[in-house]
Amino acid sequence: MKPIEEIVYTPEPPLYHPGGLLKKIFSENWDRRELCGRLFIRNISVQYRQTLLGLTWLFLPAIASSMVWLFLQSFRVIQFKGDYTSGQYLLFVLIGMVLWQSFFEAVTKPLAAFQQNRTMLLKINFPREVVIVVSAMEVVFNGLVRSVVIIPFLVYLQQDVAWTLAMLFFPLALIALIITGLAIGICLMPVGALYQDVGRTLIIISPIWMILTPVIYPVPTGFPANLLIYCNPASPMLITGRELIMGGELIYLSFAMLSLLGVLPLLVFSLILYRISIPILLERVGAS
Amino acid sequence: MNSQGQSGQQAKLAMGSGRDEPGTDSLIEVKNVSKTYCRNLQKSLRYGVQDIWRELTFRGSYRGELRGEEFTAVDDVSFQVQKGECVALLGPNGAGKSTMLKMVNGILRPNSGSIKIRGRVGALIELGTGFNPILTGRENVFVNASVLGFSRTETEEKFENILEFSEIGEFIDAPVHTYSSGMRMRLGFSVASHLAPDLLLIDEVLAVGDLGFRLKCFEHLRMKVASGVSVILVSHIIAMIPRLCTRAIVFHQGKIAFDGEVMEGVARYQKILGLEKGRKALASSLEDDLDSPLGGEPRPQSGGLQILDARTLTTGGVEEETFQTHAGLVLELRISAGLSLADCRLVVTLQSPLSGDISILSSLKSKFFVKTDRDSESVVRMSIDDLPLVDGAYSFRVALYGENRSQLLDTQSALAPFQILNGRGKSVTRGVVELSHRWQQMQ
Repeated sequence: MKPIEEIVYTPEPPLYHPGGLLKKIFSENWDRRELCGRLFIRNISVQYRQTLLGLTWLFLPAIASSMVWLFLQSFRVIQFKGDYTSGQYLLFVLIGMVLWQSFFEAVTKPLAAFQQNRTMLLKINFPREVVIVVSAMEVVFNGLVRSVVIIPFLVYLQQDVAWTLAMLFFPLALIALIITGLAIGICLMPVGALYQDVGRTLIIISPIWMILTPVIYPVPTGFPANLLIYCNPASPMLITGRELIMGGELIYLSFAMLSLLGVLPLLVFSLILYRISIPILLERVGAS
Repeated sequence: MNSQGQSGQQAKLAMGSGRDEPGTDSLIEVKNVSKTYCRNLQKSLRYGVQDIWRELTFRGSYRGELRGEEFTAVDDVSFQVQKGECVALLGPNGAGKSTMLKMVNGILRPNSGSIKIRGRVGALIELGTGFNPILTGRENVFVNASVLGFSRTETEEKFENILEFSEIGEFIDAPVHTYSSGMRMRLGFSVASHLAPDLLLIDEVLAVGDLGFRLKCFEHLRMKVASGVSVILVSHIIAMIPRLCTRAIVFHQGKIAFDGEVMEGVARYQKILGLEKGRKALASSLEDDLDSPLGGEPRPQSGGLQILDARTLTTGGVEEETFQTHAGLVLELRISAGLSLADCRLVVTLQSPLSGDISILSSLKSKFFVKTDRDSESVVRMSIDDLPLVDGAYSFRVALYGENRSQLLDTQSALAPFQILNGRGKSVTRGVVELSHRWQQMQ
């Protein structure tokens, strides 16, 4: 005697039973973890199979933009308070760029993943969150690989930056930042799937948001400059992550942890929003 | 065990073999299901945002009157499918078949009604979904199988069978972008067809590869049905359907127009198709009249003659629309005349929506001419003593010519639609016609 499943599809929204819905989301995706792994491997291997430089493409943007900022700073085109050596500043920007790029990739990935997979979503009934889980795995993978580029710079700049145990916690800060980005990205996805304005806006605000985040300049102090930290979900974790490597004072650690605590309910909400939106989105935008 | 999920879905597990529980033979129960779509993109997007907001604020999905530009794609549809039954969903494009299949598959949510499914559902809706052109066939088999619900172990066990069925051979290790579209489809079908569901949903995927492979696919599905799997099939390859299905549900304009024996369903579908084709032909001829003085076909000239009406009769003169193979049929035409003509000719084309022109019968060959008086109506009958047609829907196109061979006075399509229906088990011939024939053993 094997158990047979009885499924009833009705117009009743699943949100009428949020507890059951969450339980179902997690159990279904746990059951299909093998699919997540396979799609993750497929996406990663496809991503770089047709390139000569392969994974190097993950480092290059961060290195190139860091070099540009170093160049501008060395010629005093941009100036800000802080007593960094050239090497320290290079590392400062490089870590900032690695964290920022991972964060923003997490923001944009859910919408991109939906667009990329909507034909599959429209044709096959599989747990919808698999698309999101795979996206998260890709962003974390890319972020971790991107972070590896920091190591040779640390070795090269060992006289400027001391090796500490705190550095081991850097991946946690990176993942916390990615979770924040994903929660925002998943919340934007339903409207973004319907209206292209969201995707276009993200392209426009990407450089603006980066400038408003302490990626290339030290943490501003005093009102109103410090609003860039308190009103920017990317700032506290980015600053903390960078300080874990640079050996600075972790003054925003508690705020970063508080932010993460705030982000977790947002992530749960975003997953529920995603689940209830998918049938509506597929009905409205169909296959590509 | 109960839980809630996507698409207002409730799932619970029942103990049983899935095939022999008493009183639970219905694998699918579709009750009063309706689905609306919006034909205007901007409004559709706006309704999408509104619907998401409604659900987020616990107000439930929208169930009120149709909003602006909305239409009902599936309208109050109910049916059941039993275990081991193979059902064809037939209907012209836009009739609601694929939407129905997507709702049964749990991809779209109905606007009203409910769909209850007992057992594991497998779907062959688009072959090779998830195939990546850069990856090899082998890699894609594993990805595709995983998307369809196979575990790695299951895929490894079935891999040789999948490869053999697909006839891809050594190309399995080549990137899929080097495959022809037929090879890609064959590989996709091979993976999907090795699913072991209780219910298989198939949407227009049987036009795969060459004829040999298509027949192989049908044979494979027939074995699945024989093993007790229920199948819901959407296909326009009508000739294949009676070989696989025992029942047909005909959709027309979102509603069920027929639900019953497969040959009768096919005939009904062909009739609907014929009517739609006739309507389209009429619409396009009207457009031609308005827009273009030069049509591809000769245009009727104003000769004062017009075919008013046509109907089919039995040889006894009784009006009838359903006949049996080898029965006699009489086509009666009513013609109005504005002037008197002595030598009008008729060309009657027997048509099938699927096979096109079957036979063109000219009155000239029989040396028969229609004579008309000024401002009068004439009735002309054409008798066919032995109708060799097999089960299906048919109609006539009639062209009326004047004394001059090039003088086309009137032409009309999809006239006098009728069907051939021999009843269950009596249809012995497939194809279009049943020819009189005899067998002889010479040695």
